[in-house]
Amino acid sequence: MTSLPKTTERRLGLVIDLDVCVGCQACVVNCKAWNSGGYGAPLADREPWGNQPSGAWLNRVHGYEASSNRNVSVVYFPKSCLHCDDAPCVTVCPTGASIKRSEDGIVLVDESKCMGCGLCAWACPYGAREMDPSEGIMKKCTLCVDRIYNDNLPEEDQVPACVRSCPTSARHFGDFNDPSSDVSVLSKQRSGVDLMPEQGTRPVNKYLLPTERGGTEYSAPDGFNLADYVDQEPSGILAWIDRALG
Amino acid sequence: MHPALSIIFFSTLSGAGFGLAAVIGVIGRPDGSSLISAYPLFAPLLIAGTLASIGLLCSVAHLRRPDRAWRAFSQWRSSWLSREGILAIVTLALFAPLAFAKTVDSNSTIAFGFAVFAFSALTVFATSMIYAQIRAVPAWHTWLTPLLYLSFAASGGILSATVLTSAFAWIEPLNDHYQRVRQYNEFNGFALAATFSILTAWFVQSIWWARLTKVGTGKSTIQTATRLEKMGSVRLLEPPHTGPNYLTDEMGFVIARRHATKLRSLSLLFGGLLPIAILVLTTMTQLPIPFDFLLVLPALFLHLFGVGLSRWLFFAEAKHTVSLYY
Repeated sequence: MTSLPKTTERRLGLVIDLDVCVGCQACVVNCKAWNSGGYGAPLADREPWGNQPSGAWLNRVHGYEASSNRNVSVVYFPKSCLHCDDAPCVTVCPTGASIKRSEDGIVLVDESKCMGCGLCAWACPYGAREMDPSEGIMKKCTLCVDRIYNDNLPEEDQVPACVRSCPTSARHFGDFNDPSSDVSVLSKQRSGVDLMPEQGTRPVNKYLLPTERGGTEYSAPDGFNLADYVDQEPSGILAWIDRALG
Repeated sequence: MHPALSIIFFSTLSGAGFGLAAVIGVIGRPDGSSLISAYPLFAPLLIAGTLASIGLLCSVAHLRRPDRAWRAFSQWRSSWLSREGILAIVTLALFAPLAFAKTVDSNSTIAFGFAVFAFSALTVFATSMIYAQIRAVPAWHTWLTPLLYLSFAASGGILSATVLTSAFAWIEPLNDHYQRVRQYNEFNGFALAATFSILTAWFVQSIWWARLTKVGTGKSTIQTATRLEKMGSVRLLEPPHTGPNYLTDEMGFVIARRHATKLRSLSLLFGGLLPIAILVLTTMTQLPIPFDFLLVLPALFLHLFGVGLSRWLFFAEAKHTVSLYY
């Protein structure tokens, strides 16, 4: 049923630390690798070795430049499904394929029911859902539901693939309903934020913002004009070289 | 948003079809006086049903797994797309008792007529809510969207009714003077109503467009999307993928925006000005049969083409918040 549960027993999700992500893309690759062999249809690509490769991925890392008159920073920004409490992608689904589980809050697609209309991808403000180019069904982050409950795996592997592969521990996995879990504590200590709170989706995943690095406020001195320093007429030996070569 | 032809045909044709059904539901009485009031109402309802069904079939073409389309009837509790599917089928089923009703002013004919009207309107409303419910596309997320779809369904429906009246006068030439006058009056009445409904629809469309220009991506910005607002201005430095993907194809459609003003004028010309000019010309000159029909039929096609063009812009011009990440 595509109605949302009022509350969920557990609220499993991720804390993503923008302060330590170095944009290495390991989580992106491991996510693709795991989800091409685990639950559901493999994540397909189109023309993977062609001129314009494209395909379905459940986790992507954007690189942003944030600049003010104090600092210029490059922030790597991993983005995957936020498993929202008020997930608009679930309620719009006409077939019952899109669900939010009441036991752990994971938003999943039942691939045997999806008719590939794409409305859920439109409803998601974050772009967390992508149509599988060969299966014609909607793919999304499963929070590695086939890893986290999988007793055949060693305990340290029973976390989402992206969390397991992160070399800088930028991604943390846990239950936000448990106030003593790593994710709850981290999110509280570092005041984790929601993406696009104005969309009213109440995401479970929280982002930790880069800590302020200080920096000196910079502003150009009065009358400073960069152009004065670049387009000058050469003089002395430079003028001679200029003439000789010109 | 990517303007898929299947969806544009869907909402344009099913809108006009259910609009015509609503007109038949309110005005059609099976007395054989016109094609809208044919005896029985089977023929006009078949035309309305065909228009609506072609539209609905076009929407199925949009699905990647059409074999599972039947599942779309299951989630009416939460999903407007599911509600739209169910309402469309119920409305088409309600055509049947009205199509075979034989008594003119009996309570049951009036009741079935009203039911067809109400459910046709509800179906078009549900269609519009598929888009209006989506907060991630602020241009769509307004009560003006249902108003827009309903007013174009009305204009398409009333204009179709005008065409049917003139067609009936041609197929069934009446010798009786009194009946001929009645036919003229009915045609003129429909033509006048069509003119007003087309004007209303384009008025709503112009308000919708004015809002679209202002609203953009609403309250969402690249700052709220990344939450890096305290760090100053934010721009994408390294895209997460080197080529296009589903998100950029589906949600990042930008081709139309350069030509938007031109396309808006064209859609208004084809969907509004030309049909109105034809309607005014036909009624003013009181053209002999079948010239009125031969003029208003192209007016309907022009109108549907213009509405289709504006529906294309409805998608192409609307910005999705995911574009903020790129």
